Amino acid sequence: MSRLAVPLLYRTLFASGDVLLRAEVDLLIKDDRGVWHQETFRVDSGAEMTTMFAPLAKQLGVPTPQHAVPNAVHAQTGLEIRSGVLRVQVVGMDATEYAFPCFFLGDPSGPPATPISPPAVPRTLLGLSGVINQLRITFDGDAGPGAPYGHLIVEKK
Amino acid sequence: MPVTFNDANAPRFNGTSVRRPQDPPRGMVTPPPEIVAQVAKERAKFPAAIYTDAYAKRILDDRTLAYYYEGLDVAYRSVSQGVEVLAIGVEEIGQLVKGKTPEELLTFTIKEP
Repeated sequence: MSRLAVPLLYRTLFASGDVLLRAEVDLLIKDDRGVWHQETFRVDSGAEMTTMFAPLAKQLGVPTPQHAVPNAVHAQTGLEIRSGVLRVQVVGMDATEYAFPCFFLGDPSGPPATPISPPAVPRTLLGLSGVINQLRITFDGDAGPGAPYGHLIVEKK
Repeated sequence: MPVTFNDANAPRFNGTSVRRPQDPPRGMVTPPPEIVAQVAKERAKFPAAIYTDAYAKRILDDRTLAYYYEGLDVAYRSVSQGVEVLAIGVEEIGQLVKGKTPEELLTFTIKEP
């Protein structure tokens, strides 16, 4: 079984001093030429679907559906969505290629939304649908060497 | 969806929270001194075997990217002095990947800090 343990990241909220944890994983994304691009995804157990910014997908040559899903938008940003598939490998695991359903956010040909006023809503998320049937994802808060706040564990099922 | 929090007290804001892709630095970017000091202070709370040099480097890179590029897509690679920023924003990233060999494309990572 292929298994990956990634230390959880954290930041300190200056305003309160609280420590805020998050998990990230690097994926290789296959473009329309079969070439891989490395991108970092935030692992979000609260996300119903994996998402990626459509204009970035287009710039990388990642295939995106031609038409947006009618009568549906990404609630957090108001962006239109295109329902497609990301072909990926998980960096640090074996070379298995996974096909994850993905909502591409925004018009792939649209102008980039700039200037941006932080905090932007994260658009590059690894969600649940079509992922956890292929990968077992666990958050383990036990500290260990090189991981003061624990690990994200990713295992091939 | 993730729950995120706007930290207006963070030193990166410096009176303005609006940034354009052409504003932040490119090339070799070293961690801002206040970030280095903050990470050192946080690291002191843990045994050295837990908060390792490699983890501290990862956090410094992460904070440096967030400090300058939060809300922007950025192509970068980690280097000993900090991060090397190759492109900022989707248009620059698109230009960056054009003509690159498959091997060259795997020498950097795209991230939305």
